[in-house]
Amino acid sequence: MIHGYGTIPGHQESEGQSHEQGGALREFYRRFKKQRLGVTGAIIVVILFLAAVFAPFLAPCDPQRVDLSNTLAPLSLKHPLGTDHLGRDLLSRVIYGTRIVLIVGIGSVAISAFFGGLAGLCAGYFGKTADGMIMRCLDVVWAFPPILLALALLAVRGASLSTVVLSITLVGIPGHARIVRGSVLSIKEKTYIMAARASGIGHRRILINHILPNIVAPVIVVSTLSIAICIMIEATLSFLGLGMRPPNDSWGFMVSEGQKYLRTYPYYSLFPGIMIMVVVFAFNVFGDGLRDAWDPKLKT
Amino acid sequence: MVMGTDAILRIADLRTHFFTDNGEVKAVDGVNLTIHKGESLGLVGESGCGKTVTAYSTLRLVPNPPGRIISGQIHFKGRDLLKLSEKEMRGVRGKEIAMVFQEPASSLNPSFTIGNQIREVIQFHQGGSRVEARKKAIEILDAVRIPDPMRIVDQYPHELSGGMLQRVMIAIAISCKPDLLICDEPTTALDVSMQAQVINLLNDLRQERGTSLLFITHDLGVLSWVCTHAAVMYAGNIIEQADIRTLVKNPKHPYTSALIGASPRLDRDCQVLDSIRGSVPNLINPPRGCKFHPRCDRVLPICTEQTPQLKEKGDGHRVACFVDGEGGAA
Repeated sequence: MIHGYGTIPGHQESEGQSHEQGGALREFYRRFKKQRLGVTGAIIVVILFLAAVFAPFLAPCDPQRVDLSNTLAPLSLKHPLGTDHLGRDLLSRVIYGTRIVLIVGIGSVAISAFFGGLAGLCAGYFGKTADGMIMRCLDVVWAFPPILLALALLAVRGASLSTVVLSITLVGIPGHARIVRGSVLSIKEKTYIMAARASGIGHRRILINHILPNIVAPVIVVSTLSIAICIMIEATLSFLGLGMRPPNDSWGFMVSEGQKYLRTYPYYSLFPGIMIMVVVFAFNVFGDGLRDAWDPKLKT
Repeated sequence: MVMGTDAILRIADLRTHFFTDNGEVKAVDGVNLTIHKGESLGLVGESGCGKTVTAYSTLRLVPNPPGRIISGQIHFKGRDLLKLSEKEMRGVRGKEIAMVFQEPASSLNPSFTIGNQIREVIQFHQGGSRVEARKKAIEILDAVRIPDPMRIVDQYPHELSGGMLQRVMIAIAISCKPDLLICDEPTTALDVSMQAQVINLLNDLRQERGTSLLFITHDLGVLSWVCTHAAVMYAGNIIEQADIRTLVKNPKHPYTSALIGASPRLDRDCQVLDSIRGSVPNLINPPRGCKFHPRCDRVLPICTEQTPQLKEKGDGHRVACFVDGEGGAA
């Protein structure tokens, strides 16, 4: 089988690094390529990214342009997905909505994976008092229903993009911490950790060089799954009218608005709803694909 | 080979206890042990008699909690390892004392290539660039007779067999030219032909590099093949120590005799192997006096009262038993 490495975008950066690291990345890419569903998910995620970045060029109209003479218009060439109750172009609104979805989904998961991961790493590796204190604090957060916690924060700080991200981040931290802590607990008992210590390697190096790479796989799976969950929470909050304010084009908010016209004009809720589904699906299969490619034991 | 006389490792009255919910487990309870330069000392005993804990204590790697070194001294090249700081200890581990573990398959990090893991240890202790360390890694793989080291260096642990992995572990262990190599049952998880290769390798390395060896095993056959001296451990104590020939031909402690009687031999035709009745005593409440007395066939009244001390019987043969007359009533 011939690998067209030369054509991989971004591969040139890894070439400059050491032989092994380039080899590992290459290997990872080769394994990922075999995951059909994962590649599909990755393609959808890339398309969404491009849509978010190039929204002004892709959207046929300004998503905020009101045209009261043309409300709830049927699907047409000018308005492929129709218009809403204010005559705004739905396709444009859906395209701009990708920005919010990606900011909220990836942003909040990245932050909660970082802080949750750090907390879980310390709790799991150092154990004893550190473990007890960190995990009990997180249990307090864990004890609240996620939506309720988000509602409380939104009520205090007022609805805005940053508050939505903050509240979803907070909700995600304990989950990440638990996954990381559990993985660390099982890995630190492995003989190779003892072997590393017997070769004189210190705690910090063991944590970063030996434990971290072995917990990347579960963290990636949990993160991609929680991106999907975060998008759902954001949609739920917007649907409840507590997320982004109207000028924002959150898909959840659009589903909520379209609800009023569900019987006469189903397109309003339908397309944003389908988009939520597609994004959640894409991130799920992308995560599964990454996990399978990451694990060297599954290598053929 | 010329045997050095200066002691490289001298463990004196080492006690390592584990504090569990059920009580204090006296896993190592007053061990005295000396290894001379270039010597290969075998540590034998049943499972759970404290061999591995002795090894971990030497490197100060006893898991804490629950374990703790209560008292004793571990003199290594003139320093007491128990008095060093954690940072100084890190310089000793891997560089001056290295260890090879029982399960080669789980002793290597599955996420990294073989080369990466050897390189990490070399760079940690000796510095140097990645390229240099990689070159050294290939050399060391060649030294432990791994075929095609250029290819193996970039492979992951799961791609190699157990015997190969154990050689990789030995390669990592000797990469910084340690003075003492601790092998914790390095051949137990391997099949017989692999055992032979690993043992021959260890013997050659010891002769070429003059590395001293602390070899932990429960297999007397392997022991007599690798070791020049042997110490028998029972329930946290050394009960007999001698050079390997004396120990096998002329064991003085009833437990050593029983252990030898229980191992299969090609030169003796027997249908049923002897076994030692009973099992290793509970180390939370060990029996009074000699810890072996409940299982001993030659028990004397004094054995249940007093603990025998290791006594010199001549020619470096030391035994802790009352049965041979003077015994050592302390």
